[in-house]
Amino acid sequence: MRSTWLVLLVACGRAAAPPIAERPLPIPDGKAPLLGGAPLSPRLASYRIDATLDVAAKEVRARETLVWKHDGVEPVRAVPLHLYMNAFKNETSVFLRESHGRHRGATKADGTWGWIEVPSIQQGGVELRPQAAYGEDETTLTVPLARPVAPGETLTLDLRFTTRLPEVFARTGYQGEFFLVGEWFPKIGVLRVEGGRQRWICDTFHVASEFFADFGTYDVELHVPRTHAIAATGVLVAARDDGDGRVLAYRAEDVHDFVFMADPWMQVARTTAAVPGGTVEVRVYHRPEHAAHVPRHLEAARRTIETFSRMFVPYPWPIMSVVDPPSDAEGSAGGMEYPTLVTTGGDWDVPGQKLLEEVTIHEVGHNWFQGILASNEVDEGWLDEGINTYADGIVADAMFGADRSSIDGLVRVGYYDRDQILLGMGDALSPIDTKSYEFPDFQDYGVATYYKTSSAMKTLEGMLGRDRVWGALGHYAKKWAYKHPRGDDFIAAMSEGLGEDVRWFLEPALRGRGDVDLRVGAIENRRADPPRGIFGEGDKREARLPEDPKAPWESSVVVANVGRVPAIVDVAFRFEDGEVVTATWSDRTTWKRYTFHKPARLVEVTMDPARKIRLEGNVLDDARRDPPRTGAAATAAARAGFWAQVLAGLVGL
Amino acid sequence: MVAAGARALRAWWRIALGIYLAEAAVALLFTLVVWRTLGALYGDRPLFDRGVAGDATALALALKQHRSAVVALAWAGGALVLGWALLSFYLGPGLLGAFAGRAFGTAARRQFWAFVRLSLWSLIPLVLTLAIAGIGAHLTGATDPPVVDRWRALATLRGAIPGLLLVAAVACAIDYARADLVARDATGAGRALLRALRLTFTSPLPIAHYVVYGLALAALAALYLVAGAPLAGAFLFAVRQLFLAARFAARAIATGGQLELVRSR
Repeated sequence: MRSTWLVLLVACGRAAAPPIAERPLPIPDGKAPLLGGAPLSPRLASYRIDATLDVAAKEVRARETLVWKHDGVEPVRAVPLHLYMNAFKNETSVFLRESHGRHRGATKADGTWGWIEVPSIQQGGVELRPQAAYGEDETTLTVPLARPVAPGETLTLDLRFTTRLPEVFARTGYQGEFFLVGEWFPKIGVLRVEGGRQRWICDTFHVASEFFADFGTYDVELHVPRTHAIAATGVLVAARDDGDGRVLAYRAEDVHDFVFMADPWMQVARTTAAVPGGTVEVRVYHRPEHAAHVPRHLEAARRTIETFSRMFVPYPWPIMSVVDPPSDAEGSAGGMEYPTLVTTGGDWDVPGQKLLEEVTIHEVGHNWFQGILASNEVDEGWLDEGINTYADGIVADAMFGADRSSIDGLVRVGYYDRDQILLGMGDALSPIDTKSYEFPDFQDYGVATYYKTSSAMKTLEGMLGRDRVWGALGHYAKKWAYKHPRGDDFIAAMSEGLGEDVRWFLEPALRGRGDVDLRVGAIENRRADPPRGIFGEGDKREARLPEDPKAPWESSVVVANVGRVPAIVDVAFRFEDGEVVTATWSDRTTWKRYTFHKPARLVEVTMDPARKIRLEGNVLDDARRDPPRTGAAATAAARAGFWAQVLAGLVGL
Repeated sequence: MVAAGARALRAWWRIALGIYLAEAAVALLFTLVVWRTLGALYGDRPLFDRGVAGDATALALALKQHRSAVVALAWAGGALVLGWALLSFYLGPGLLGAFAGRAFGTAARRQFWAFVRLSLWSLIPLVLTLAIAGIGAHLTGATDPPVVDRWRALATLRGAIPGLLLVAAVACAIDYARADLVARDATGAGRALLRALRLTFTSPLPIAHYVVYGLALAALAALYLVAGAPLAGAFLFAVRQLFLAARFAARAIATGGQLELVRSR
């Protein structure tokens, strides 16, 4: 019923919408592609692309020149290319086989296939395309070279290609007049040298995997209609009218991808973020109906840029664009990151929830965790998604307060509390450090990669101190910026930054299954009377059966960590007379017995009273009291009875 | 109408009290089951206390460890509510019959199926008016500035007000239809509902009673939600019974008044 009404309303809205009008010729940004002048990365893979967006045919037709620097150790005789768009070509692609046409809640529309055709690949005028062969599916293409490339040499390939865009359901394509053009051009894999040997990394496009590419420069000329607002990676260096439409020239430096958005209805709002070395212009592209959300997106993006620039490395580019897709493309195009351009979601606003800001913070945060620290998202998704999820909480907590940074409505829930609740909702079957396509399902991938990683980092912060862990994360960022860090590099950098080896925690947390699982055993109290029995021999034999009601109590309890991840845990012991004793259990053993001689009985034991240990799904048995009390149960029952009676009154008499 | 309803309640207070006590007994039974179950599950776990005291995270973390038991309790509550709804098809005509001077059991038996059919017919206007309220809330929710404050969130629901007024009118009409069935000793539920809708919209004043009644119910429920948090179980239960007894009396007065109104037409 509701959807029928909404369809009618939307239809009326469409009918009343003004005709699409031409826009003024955009003014170039007048900014250098980098805030600092010097290159930040090795710039191994650079692209010059001349592309025409045909909005009627939903196609991009382009010529591309790929310039690749060989920094390996052996000659290269063939190069692999990603052709990501072929994931949407037919149902034999690995992506569609794994996803069954569904991706993060969005469903692929029937018959709107997407693909990329590359009819020509030339090396120095020699056509290579006939010899090229697809990999596991058509999302990778291996191209034998006419002439091998020696280490230190540069390879130049000239390509022609046509990309047909699908109706967007997995972060690329069109929806009505909205276009998000990502993963759209042939892109070279990454040549990695390990142990003196080199190998190409160019994975098939899987449903749970994202991307991995070398840094470089991008010079992209886009031929677009005069009617469309355009947002793209990098800065607009020139704009002209060529008779058929607009030609917009973009340049981006020290990035590893290029994406653009086109839409005739988008408006743009701006603010600035101050970072070391300059000012970043923050833009939010949105349709008029989402205007109310713009200040929240702008503030979330600004706070993220400023916070991460201060904590990690400065944001190096002069512009950050946040695209809020139209309502009918929110689920399919929203919440995705590319260098200097991310998508968010305006319709995800639920009163009281901070999801809207959270998505913007997360996607902008990806400009560090994968944008600058360019880890392999396919093999080690946690290294960007998980560490970013943890770092996002720093911004969210600062913006809203730690106790309400996720939900601030009739109930309040903090950002990291939410992570812990979600962590316990689905115990991950796989370790965090699992290749993205080897998780049994998307839920397992999500719980392990995002929430478990975030909870592990928050636990490390709780055990070792916030400032130390933040400092160590900053050390990792500075050490591996504009490189390709791996999990081992992260663990080593964190140990360096903390000044102590933290493999004891990070190895089992990241590479093992399970979590911390604290448990308080039964509390035992008995009078510490002097020993009773028969003492002495012969004439000196005597029976001692003293029962001193004033004797102190001997109380003991066993606390345990039966999980697979060790932890340093604070324990609080409360006695009947109100005295509280605290201790830190730091030897990381499986269990420990605590014994006390006190004038009052031990009545309550709480492990981790400050809730520093977040990598734990079951926290209910972290505390125990003896004797039990049912006052809270009575209060809860009275409320349940009340609402049942109200409901009974509504449906009955 | 109110005066007539009060007269009827005074005359037949024993029957009204009996019905209220039956409802309270059902709720008390449910409360006891919940109390003993939660006490057994969480009596030695302080985390649950923190949750009940208002820490939403603690409550979520505590409840999810015994999700099956909590879901089972919810189903039990739902079953009791449904059972009460079914029982009301018998008690409702009996109470109205008593107000009209007939024997409780005779009226209850004779009009039981008519009341069942009336409840099914009533779904049509109720769903329609609730849909109007939902669409209104959606429209204002979509156009309002995003809400960050917990109470201002309620303001986004103002678009639902026209729809909720219609819901109140339909609720009033449904009660008229019940009174109509008993007063005429009739069994045609659909026709009774149509007559009642006509009566409601030609003499709309009683709708105001329903609006006041609905607002009072919502205000008291909100008050309970906010002020109930620090209250202990037993006191909370007593407050609850006072509130619900008042609610039941108000409803009985309205019903008796409607019966008088229908009979006078």
